[in-house]
Amino acid sequence: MSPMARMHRRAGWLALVLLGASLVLLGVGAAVGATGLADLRALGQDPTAWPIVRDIRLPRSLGAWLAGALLGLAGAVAQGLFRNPLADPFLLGSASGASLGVALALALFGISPQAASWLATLGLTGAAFAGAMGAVLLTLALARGVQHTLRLLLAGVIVGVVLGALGSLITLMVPETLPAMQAFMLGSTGFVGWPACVPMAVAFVLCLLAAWIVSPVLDGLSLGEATARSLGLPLGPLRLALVAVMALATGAAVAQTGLIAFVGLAAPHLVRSVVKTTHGRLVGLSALAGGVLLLGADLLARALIAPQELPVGVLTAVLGGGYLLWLMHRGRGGRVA
Amino acid sequence: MSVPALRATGVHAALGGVEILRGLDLSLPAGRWTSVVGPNGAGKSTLLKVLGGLLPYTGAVHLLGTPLPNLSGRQRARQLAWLGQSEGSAEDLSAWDVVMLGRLPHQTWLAAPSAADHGAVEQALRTTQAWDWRERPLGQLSGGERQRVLLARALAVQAPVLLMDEPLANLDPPHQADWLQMVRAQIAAGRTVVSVLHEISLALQADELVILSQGQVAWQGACADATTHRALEQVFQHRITIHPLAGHWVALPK
Repeated sequence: MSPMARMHRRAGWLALVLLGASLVLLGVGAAVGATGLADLRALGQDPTAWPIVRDIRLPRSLGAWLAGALLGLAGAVAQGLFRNPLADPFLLGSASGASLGVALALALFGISPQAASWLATLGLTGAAFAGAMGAVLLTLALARGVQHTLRLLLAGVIVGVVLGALGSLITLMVPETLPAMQAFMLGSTGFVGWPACVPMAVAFVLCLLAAWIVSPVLDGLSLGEATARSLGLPLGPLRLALVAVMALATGAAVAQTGLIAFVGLAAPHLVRSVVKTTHGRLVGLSALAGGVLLLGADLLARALIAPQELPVGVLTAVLGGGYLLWLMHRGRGGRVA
Repeated sequence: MSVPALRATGVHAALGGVEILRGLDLSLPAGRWTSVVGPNGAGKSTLLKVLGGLLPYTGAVHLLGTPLPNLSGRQRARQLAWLGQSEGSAEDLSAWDVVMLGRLPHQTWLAAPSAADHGAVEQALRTTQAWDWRERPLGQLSGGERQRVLLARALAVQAPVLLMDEPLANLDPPHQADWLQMVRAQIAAGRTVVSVLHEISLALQADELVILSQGQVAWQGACADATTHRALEQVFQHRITIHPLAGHWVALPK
């Protein structure tokens, strides 16, 4: 066995464990509801039990896994692209852009009954996605491209702050939008159905494939900009492709589930704490870890105060914040993970 | 007369709006080891980046007779390997993965590494005596160990021209001696080595010395020539003197 094969065997084991955990959690998510396993037991007798499992719990669980996987993937790409272990997929202003998109949609159309039905059909997803993509494009325009990482990060922070303030201003001016905005800001998988799973699944396959294809540039960049360039890597176009992957993955997840913090940040760290590997593998493993994290958090959010539910975004923020604090404590005198 | 490995004509380059190289002319012979020295801020690292096609410049730079802009990134990367001062950390990549990156210019995109790639990586790791920790992540290596892995990465390219910016950083004296031996082996194999070294006594062990001052070549000549030594003392404002010692030249501060 070559050294390379031996080194990557551990990554293969981790992938299997994460896949197994994903399947188990999906099964639990589909089986368990507010009434425990009652619907599952009644599958044979109660004609409403199967539709509940098929049309509500299964797409919700799959949707939570897909959103987590998209955020985990985006996190791994962001941390590799910006060579910063604290980089988050919500960089480049995508989260604030999505919030602004939702605030605008609610303020412009959400108050009238006709608009409400249209919005209910679309679930505000188009607005959030357009806002996220618009914010990323604005960041790229301000940073004059993707060549300079620091300029890109600064532009992302500025766009995030300004768009976030605009979103808050709209909410203040149209107070009727406040409850809906609050739900979006808290993040929830409660309304994810099959129509939401389809765009997330398509985006996930596209982003995973694209990130894997472009992953050698992330390995090269980890040695520094000049070294990566000296290896003949066409940094400009490949960096642009990675930014597009990050924006699409983040936008697709945020559009369906609202703002869910820390999954994109924590998933790559979790993977790196178990296995050190190339970005090609890290991206896939982070997606699996993100899916497990968010689906696990969603199950917890459903179970902790059942039959009521916690917004999953609140739970990931609390758990993710605790995890970061633990990392800081553990990493005192060293790097974070 | 053989084609020079690198030739720069009327080169200007700036960093952050400040002009560093000011109409620099230079011709570096193929199959020789040339050291570049000069006071702080003379433009040594900038010159190396320009010669490697890694920094925008005006003027002309030729690599083995071909203008740099006429080469694609991959063509240039196969002919010229570059080792910079500690830029990135690549903490999570194993030493093997890092050195394998040196084979990127030879690989088809996404194709698995060939037997030749594996052979080149193993040879480079053994040359720099880094083979034993090939499976360890870079983040778990000491500064000197890491530097030897990065050196192996540059060697794995197997390019005819090798540019190195302060390659002896973090290396202890025995490994500095190993590095000198490695450079001589590269020259014996017909390759060209250009190094920026702030340790002048080590730089004087090269075949040729290029002395930079204020963004221009103040002197270029054989390391063993007395005129080169005088030029060196003059550029350093006579704050150093060059003395013979056991068949080598050493620079001592006055």
